[in-house]
Amino acid sequence: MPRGRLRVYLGAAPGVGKTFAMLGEGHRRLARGTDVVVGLVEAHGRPRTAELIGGMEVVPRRTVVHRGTAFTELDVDAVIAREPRVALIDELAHTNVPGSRNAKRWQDVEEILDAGIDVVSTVNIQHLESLNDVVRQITGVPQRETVPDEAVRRADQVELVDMSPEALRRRLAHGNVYAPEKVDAALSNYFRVGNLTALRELALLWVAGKVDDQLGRYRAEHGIEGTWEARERVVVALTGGPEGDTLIRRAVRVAARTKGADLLAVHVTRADGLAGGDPGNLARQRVLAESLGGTYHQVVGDDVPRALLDFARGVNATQLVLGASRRGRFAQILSRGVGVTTTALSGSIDVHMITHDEAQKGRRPPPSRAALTRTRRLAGWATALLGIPVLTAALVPFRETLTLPSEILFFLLVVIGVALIGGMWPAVTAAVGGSLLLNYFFTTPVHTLTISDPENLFALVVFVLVAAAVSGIVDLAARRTREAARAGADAEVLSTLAGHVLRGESALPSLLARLRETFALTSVTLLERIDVPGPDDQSDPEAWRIVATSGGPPCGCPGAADTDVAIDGSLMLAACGRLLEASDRRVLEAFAAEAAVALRQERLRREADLAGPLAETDRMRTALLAAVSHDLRTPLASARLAVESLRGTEIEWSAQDREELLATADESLLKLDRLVANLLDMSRLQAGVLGLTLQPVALEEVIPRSIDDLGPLRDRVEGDVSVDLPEVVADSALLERILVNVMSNAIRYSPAGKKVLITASSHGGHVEIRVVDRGPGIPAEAHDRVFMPFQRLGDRDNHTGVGLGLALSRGLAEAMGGTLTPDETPGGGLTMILTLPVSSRADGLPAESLPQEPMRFSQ
Amino acid sequence: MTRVLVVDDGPQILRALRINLLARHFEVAVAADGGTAASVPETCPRRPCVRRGDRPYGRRRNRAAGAVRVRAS
Repeated sequence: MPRGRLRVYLGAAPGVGKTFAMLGEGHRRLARGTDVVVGLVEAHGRPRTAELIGGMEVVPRRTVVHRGTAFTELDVDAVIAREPRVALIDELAHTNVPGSRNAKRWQDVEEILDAGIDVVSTVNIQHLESLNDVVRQITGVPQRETVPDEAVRRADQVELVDMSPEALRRRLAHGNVYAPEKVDAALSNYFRVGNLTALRELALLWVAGKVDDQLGRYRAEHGIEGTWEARERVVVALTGGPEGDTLIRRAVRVAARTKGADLLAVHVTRADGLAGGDPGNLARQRVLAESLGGTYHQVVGDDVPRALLDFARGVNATQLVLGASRRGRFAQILSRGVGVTTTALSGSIDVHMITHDEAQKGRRPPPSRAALTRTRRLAGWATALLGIPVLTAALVPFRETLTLPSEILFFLLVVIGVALIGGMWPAVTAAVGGSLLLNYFFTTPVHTLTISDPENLFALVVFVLVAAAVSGIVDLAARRTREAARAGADAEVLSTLAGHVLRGESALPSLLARLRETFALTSVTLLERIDVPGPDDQSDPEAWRIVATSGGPPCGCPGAADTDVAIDGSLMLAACGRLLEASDRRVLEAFAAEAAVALRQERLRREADLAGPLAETDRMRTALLAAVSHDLRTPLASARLAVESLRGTEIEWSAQDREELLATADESLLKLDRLVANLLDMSRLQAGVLGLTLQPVALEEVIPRSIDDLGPLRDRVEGDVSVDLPEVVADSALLERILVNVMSNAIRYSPAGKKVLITASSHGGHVEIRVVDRGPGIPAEAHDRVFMPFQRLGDRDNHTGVGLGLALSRGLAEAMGGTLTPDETPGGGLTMILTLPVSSRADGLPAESLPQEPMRFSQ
Repeated sequence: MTRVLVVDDGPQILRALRINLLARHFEVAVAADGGTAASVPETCPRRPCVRRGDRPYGRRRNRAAGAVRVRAS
C-alpha cells in the first residue's frame, strides 16, 4: 500500500488561519467527491471554525483518563479503521496525554500515513524543534510542544498561511481568535508587532529553506547540473589601483543587502607579469576585504574580462562589481575596455559599474624611467654625432662608384648601431642627420638640399622611417628587459616574504631584518602613533612609539626617515639609510602591510597567552569555591548540630552523650581550623608572602609531634625514626603541617587495618622522610596531577579535605628548599617522599645563610 | 518503633545524628557509605524517604552518602 501524502499548513502565530485553511481545503475536496473526514480539529470556541467542522464527518475521539481527569485524543485506530481518503488532523506538535500509544501527535499522523491515508495538518512555526531557542529569545515564552523539523520537512507539501502582523492584531482585537477577556493580554504580550514580525520572518525563511530542498530534490531527480544560484555571491574585481578600496566597500554594501551573501575580491594578473597592479594597493585591499568578511583571490590570465568571468562563474557568482574605466575618453573610443567587454560577456551575472575618483582621469603613465643607463645613452649620442659625419667623410670619395641605395644601407647600419647602443633618441637624431647629409652629399644635385629625382626623395623618407622604427623597437625591448628583470626581482622578494610569513617565523623582527637587507637600509622601524593624529606630529618623536626595529639607530618619527610608508591610521613603517625608488616603494608597501599583519598576530598571540593562565586561575577559583563551600559546611553542620543539641532543653542528655557531643563539636572545629589554616597558607604561598623561619630541626621531635596532631587518626600511623638522623633545615611548624597533610592523605586511602608507615633516612646532604601507604596507589602518569589544588584523584568520594593538602604540602616543601614527590610502594600503594636539606650547622655555617626568600609557588 | 538508617561520610555528623535520634527514641543504624548500608540486610531500606542533598558538586559520587533513610517497621 503506498504511503499517504502529508500536507502541512504552516503559520507564524496562532490565529493566522491555518485550521480555517485546512478545513477549507477539506470542504473543497469533499465537494469534488473525495472521502474526507475530520480526525481531530479543535474549534477553540471560534464560531466560524465550528461551523466549518459542522459540515463534515468527524471521527469520534478517544477518551483518556489521566490523574482523574478525562482528556480526548485523536483515535488513531478509529481513523485507520474508517479508511477515508483524506483525514484532517489539527496541531501536529500536540503532546498526547501520558498513557497514549505515541507521545506526540505527529507520531500518530505517521501511523495514519503508513496506513495509506492522506493527512492534512497544521503547525505553528514556534513549535518547530530547531527554532525553539530562537522563538524563546524573541517571545520570551518557552515552547514545550515541539515537533521535529524532519517530520514537517518530510511533508509532501508545506503551505505557508501568511498574514501581516497588523491584520492578525486586528483579527485578534475583533475577538476572532481568543475570548474577549483574553484579548488585551494577548495583544500586549505574545502578539506584539515586533514578535509577530520576527515570527513571520522565521516562518518565511523556514519555508524558503524547504522550497530550496524541494528545488534540490527536483534538480537531483531530473539530473540538472548547471548552477541555479540561490545564494548571492558578489565578486569585486580589483585592478590594483587606488580605487579598489571604494569598490570593496561598495561591494560589501551590495552583499549586505542579502543575508549570508559572500564577498570575493579578485585581481587578475597578466600572464607576462608586466602590467600588474601595485602590490602595495593590493596588499592593503586584501586586508580590507578580509576584514570586511570577504576573501581575496588572484588569478592569472591575459584576457582580463574572460579571466574575470571564468573566475566568477567558477565560484557561482551572482554579481560582479567593477570600477568604471580609468581610461580617458579618447582611449575608450579605441577599445571597449574591460568593463564594457565584461558586461557584454557576463551572461547571467549582474555587473555593477562603480564610478570612483580615479575614473576617466586617464591611466597615469608609469613614472618615466630611461630604459637605458646614462653611460649607454651618452655612448649612443657620441656614436651618432661622430659616426654619421665620419661615415659621410668615408663615403664621399666613393660617391661615383656607389649607388644611393648602398649609401643609404651604410647609413642605416650606423643608425641601427646607434639605436642598439644609445636607444631611441640618439638613433632618431642620427637618422635625421644622416638623411640631411645623404641629401647634401650624395643625391643629385650634390651640395644642395634639393633633390631632383623623386625616387631618391622616396628612398630617403623610407630610410628615416625604418631608422625610427628600428630604434623604437630597440628601445622598447631594452625597456621591457629592464621591467622584466625588475618584476622578477620584485616577485622573488615578495615570494620570500610570503614564504617567510607563511612559515610563521617569529614574524616581526625577522621581517624587518629581511626588509633591511633586501633594500640595503641602515635601519627599519615600525612606528605606532600614541595619540590621535595631530597637525605636525610627523616629525615629533613624542607622538610615536617604536613597536619594532631592526638595524642601526631607529628613527623616532616618520619625519626623520628617508622613506616612510603609512600602513593604517596609526602604524607607519620608517626606513633610514637611503631614499628608495618609487618602484621599490611598491614592494616596501607590501612589506609594510605584512608587518602590520605580523604585529597584529603577535599581539593577539600575546593576549591569548595572557588569557590562558587567567582562565586557569579562574577555573581554580571556581573549583576552590565549590570545594570550600562543601568542606566548610560539613564540619560546621556537625559542630552546630552538637552544640544546638547540648543547648536544647527538651532532652536530658546522659553524661556519655554529653561527652560525645562535645567531642563531636571539638573534632569538627579542629577540622575547620585546619582547613582554614591550609587555605590561608595556600593563598600566602601563592601570593609569595609566606613568612618562613628556617632553622635546624630535629626530626625525632617533629615526626612524633605531627603524628600526635592527627588526633583520633594517630593510631593508624606507625613511626620508625632513628635518633641518629642529622637535623634538617626547615620551619618546624610548617614541616609539621606538611607531615600532617601527607599522613592524613595516606590514611584516607589506606585500607582499614593497614597502618601507614613513616620512616626517615639520610642520603648525602639530604634527609628523606617517607610516608608509605598500602592503598590503591596512583598511576605514574597522574603523579603530578595530585598536586594540583582542589584535585582529588578519581574524584569519586569526598572524604575530608578539599584536595588542598598535597598542593599546599608541595608548595611548602619547595619554599623550604625541599621537594615532595610521589613514588610507588613496592607491592602496591603510594609512598610520598619529602626531601629536606641537612642543616649545615655541622659544617660550621650559620643557618641564616640559607635562602630565606619566600619562594613563589607555582603549579 | 521506627527504624532509621543514617548514611553519611562525615563521622562527626553521623555521631551527632545518632545521639540525637536515639534520644528521640528511634532505632538507629549508621553507615559511612552506600555499600556498607546495603550490605547490612536488616537495615537495608526499601525506599528512602528523606534525602539530604547538601553536596554542592559531584552528584555522581554522592549517590549513597548524605542520605537519611527512614523506614517504618
